[in-house]
Amino acid sequence: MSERIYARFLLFMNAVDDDLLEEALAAPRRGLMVHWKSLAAVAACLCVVLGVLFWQGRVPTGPESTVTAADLAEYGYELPLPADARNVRYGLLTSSSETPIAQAEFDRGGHAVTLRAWRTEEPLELFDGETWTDLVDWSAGGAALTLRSNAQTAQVSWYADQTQWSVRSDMTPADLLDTVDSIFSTLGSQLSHAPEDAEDIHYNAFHLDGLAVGETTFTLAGVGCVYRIAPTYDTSSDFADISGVEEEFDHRAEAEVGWCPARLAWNDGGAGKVVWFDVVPGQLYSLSVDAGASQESLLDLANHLFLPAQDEL
Amino acid sequence: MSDIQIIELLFRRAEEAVTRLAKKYGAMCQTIARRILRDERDSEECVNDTWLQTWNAIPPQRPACLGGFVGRITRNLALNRLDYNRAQKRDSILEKTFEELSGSLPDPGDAVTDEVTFHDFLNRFLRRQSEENRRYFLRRYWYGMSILEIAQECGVGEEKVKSSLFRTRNKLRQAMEEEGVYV
Repeated sequence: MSERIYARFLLFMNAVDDDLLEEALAAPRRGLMVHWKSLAAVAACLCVVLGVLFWQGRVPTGPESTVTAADLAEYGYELPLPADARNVRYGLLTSSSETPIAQAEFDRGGHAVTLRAWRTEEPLELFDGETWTDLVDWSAGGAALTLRSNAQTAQVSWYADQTQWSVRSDMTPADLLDTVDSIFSTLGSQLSHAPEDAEDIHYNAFHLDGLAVGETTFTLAGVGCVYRIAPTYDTSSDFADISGVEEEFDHRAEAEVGWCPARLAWNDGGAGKVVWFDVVPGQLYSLSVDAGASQESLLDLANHLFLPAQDEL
Repeated sequence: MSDIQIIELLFRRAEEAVTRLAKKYGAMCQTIARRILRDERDSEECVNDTWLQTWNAIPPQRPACLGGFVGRITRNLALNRLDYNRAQKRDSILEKTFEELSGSLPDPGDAVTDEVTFHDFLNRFLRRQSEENRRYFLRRYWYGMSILEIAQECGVGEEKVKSSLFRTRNKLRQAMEEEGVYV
């Protein structure tokens, strides 16, 4: 190696941030994971409910003092904020254990957001009680999540690596989930799952015909795409269509995505959808596009997006 | 023993932590050092220094990924020693691997970007890549791992790693040209 190349070598070798170098050696994280272990999510939810009952009246009500991120780091906290978070204020809240709850309040998209994290042995509620009108439990990004909402407020909670996380805002549930997706992205994981070249990626979770659906919407080469996943206990061969696309199509076909039976419907060069079912984990999938559909293009994209739940086991 | 348990031992200043670290991550760190250094004894010293640096860093730090944390320390120690031992003319594995990347980048010519600007540019570029592509790229060119090693450890095919590296190298070249970064 010449001296000139060696100088370039040293420049490159010393230019990468430590967190990226450490991330590179860490065990690979998985992508979108809405898997069949929804029983675990239910159990986690039950723990949360029991936690609410147990800790009612003992949850913290406000920051003890204004603190910095460095103060949080002394307790082992590093709060992963979205890149576009503004006016960040940190706090430490007293808790029932020696470890305080870390808090970050920030503005995003004109809305106030509060993120809290608490290192704890079991899932617990981190905010005061609120009357919720909707609740969705599902799994994504390697965590079991709960979305609660009413007309004014939305809250997303999850428990991972012995830390309880909770985010609350006056955003719509969909906007809050985008915020949570940004937080997951900072943590090195993601709720959404889209091809590398996709743009305008958004994530949402909701109920559809009694199923908890995780949805990623994105644009790929100008084509609007919607990718959905939902766990189900119904293992009948006539599996449900969770695409939400009801229109009549010129063509229909049956095929396979991975090893899963799939049903396709499309108009040549127009809209189309493919739905498939992975029977062993009991997971339904759908992909719909608003233009450019063909049997081949639908199957190509579906196979590209399909992340088998078995990979997560 | 889990990472959390080892970290707890370090927080308690229990010397057993070093034994546990060496048992769990010794081989990995040794491999990292060997790819950068040419001398086996230098590699061993780097690994031993890794445990000392880890002991001094935890607490106060509490790394999310202990393996990545100690691996990064070994790498940095080995790079420092590589520079010190530059008199030896035989290139290390990491240097040889880097030439693959260097050869695909634009010629700097006379206009050379300063270190701080390049640091900012490179990290912005890396953070824009997907985690998967970034992992392959850094493992290959910053840790000197072979395509086969990356593929096996990440549970993917060699072709996938190769094509990802190819795409990321091209993107880096394009980004350097677009932003006028020459090193």
